[in-house]
Amino acid sequence: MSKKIDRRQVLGTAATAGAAALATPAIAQGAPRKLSLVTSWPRDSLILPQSAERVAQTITQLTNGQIEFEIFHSGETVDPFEVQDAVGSGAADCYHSVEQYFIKKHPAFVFFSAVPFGLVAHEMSGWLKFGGGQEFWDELSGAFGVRALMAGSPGAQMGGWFPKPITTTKDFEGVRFRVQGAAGQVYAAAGVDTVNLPGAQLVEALFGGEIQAVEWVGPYLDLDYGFVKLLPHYMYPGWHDPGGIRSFGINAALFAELSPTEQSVFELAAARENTLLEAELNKLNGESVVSMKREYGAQVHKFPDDVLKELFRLSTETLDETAAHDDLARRIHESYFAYRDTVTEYAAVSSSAYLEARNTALALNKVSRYDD
Amino acid sequence: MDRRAFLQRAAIGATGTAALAAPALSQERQQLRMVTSWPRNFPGLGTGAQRVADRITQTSGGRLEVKLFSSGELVPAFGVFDAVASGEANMYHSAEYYFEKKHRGFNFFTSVPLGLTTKEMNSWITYGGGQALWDQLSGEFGVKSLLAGNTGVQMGGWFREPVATMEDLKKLTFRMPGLGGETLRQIGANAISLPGGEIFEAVQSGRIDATEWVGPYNDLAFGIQKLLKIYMYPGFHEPGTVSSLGINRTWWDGLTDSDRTLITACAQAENDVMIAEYNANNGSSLRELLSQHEVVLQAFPQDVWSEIAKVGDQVVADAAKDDLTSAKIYTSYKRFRKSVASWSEISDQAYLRARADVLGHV
Repeated sequence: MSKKIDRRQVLGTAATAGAAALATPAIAQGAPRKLSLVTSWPRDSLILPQSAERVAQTITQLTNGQIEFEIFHSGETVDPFEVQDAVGSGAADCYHSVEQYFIKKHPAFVFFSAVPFGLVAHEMSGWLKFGGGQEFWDELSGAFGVRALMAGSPGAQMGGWFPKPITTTKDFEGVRFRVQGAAGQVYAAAGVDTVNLPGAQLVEALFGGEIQAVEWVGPYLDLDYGFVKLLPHYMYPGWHDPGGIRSFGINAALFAELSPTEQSVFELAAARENTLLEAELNKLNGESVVSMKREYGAQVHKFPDDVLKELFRLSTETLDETAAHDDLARRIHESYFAYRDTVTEYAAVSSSAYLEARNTALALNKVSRYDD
Repeated sequence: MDRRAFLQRAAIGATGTAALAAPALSQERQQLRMVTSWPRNFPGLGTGAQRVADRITQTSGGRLEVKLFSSGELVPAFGVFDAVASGEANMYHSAEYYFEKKHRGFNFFTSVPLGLTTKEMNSWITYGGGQALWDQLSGEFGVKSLLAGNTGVQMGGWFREPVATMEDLKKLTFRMPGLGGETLRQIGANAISLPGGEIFEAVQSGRIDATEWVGPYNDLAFGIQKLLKIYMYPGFHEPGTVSSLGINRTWWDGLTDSDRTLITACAQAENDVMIAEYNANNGSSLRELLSQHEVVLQAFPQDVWSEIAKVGDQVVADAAKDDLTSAKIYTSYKRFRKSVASWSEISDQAYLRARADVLGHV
């Protein structure tokens, strides 16, 4: 995902999270500290700004108001792609963002956001917490003066909206496709005409004929844009972003100065969001898949197996280039993919096999069955 | 000990904070008891309970100090609910289906046959109306419960021979508790319930022919693979087994807003950490079972699975006919499953299958 449509002009004032809602009396621990939190989400966009605010509110409430946040959403003080620079330099204290925005600083940041044919959200949690991933992240972010934590996942993305179903890689020809990040690199390697446009320009670009296909996020957020009205064919699975994570970054020197209790509160607020954000969007996506079909006639199609195989081959090549960047990138790449390869068979015989068997046995799979 | 006496004893603020200047209500130190249904540090479940206890202690700066009692230390594994309802303990870490004799509606807050996966369950409870129904049910018994961990999808079980037909299944004496076991009984199999610690011996002595336990991580630790080599999938009976944090309702209602947020957040955080622990270990344990113990992974034929599924779905529907509370829970749960199933199919189901295909698995 990239910058979303900024429907209104940037608001003049930033909100202070939580302070007014506090029911607990302030206690005598000295004056409250006010930290700045910069996010990469437009203030009036759905879901993600609220997710960032929830993390901040939890910290404020659990410190009895001793740590308050002044929140600046995308563009209000810094560009959405520059939040890490701001926090690393101490210009801001914390960010809520997605690490792939920082790949120009180091390409290995992609492993802490979303990887083509990579980990889904709970697998990402497994790698970070029990597979050595967090130690790598600390090493990588530490070099930029930041301590970063997993703080929520929007869950699986979809494969994008097209004017006709993709049945072979040839169907990508003649289609100018708005897609970004690692997926954009892979599609470009496949010879697809790709372009990265910010969310604010997507609708105009579609009407103006500048693009003929678009990948954005998933059913709920895509439906909000109304792509279905112009491009009825919705491809799945979202192989390029199966469960990318959002991150809460803290200036490393600031984090080190916090008391052990305060540090544990920051970690708690981030970890809590891992349950909440995905749970929220999963519900909304479920409802949106049903309504986009019933109300707008969306047609949902699976990418054919041989198309996925070709995209997998190109993804592997693209990520191998990332590994060649330096020794740290090589070590992260090795750890990430060793974990991916270890959990893949288990995932196929557990979550995936169960959902397939259940949905088939009880005929719960009508949306995709009607269209395939 | 009655509830009032316990609560008075638990709140030791008067002595603990006497020396501090101007103690506000939320600064009172409290020693809290958490009882669990797991052996101490049992991988996944017991470690998860300990993490919840430690996190509450840590994030409150020691103000809410949680002491954990493993199964049998204060009360037996299945006695935790009564201990919390009566106030003998402040909270439990357990699984709600252990309390189905009090009310069969509790099954829906752990896992039911043909039910919700971990992610779907998180959505239903947190944003789909499930928590309000859970509050209503547990509230009738003086308890407030929260999601506090999940084992993920359970495997279909361990067998001597692959199950190829319904007849193969009917011949078996199968260790499977709860509504899954009831499903097998209605199919004509002999289903029995045994505590985990007795499984190995029951297989060895021939008392049971087949068993399920949890998944590769816990199954490997029990050594079932030494006796049974056929590992069937997918399981129909527990697609995303929830661990819950149950809290004495009166004590909960007396907490400050910020302490309620703290405990809720600690439970929600463990909901993320436990599934992560299971994921990291299930993947490697499955590999070990296959590569070092000559275990064979075998899928149930879809027609057999579908037949089990239809019976199982009816068993679940029947379990919801006891009273209005059950009916409300069931209606909400079933509506949610229908609403989310298509999305689950085109997201996780399709993606995880495609990833296994391109990597050359099964």
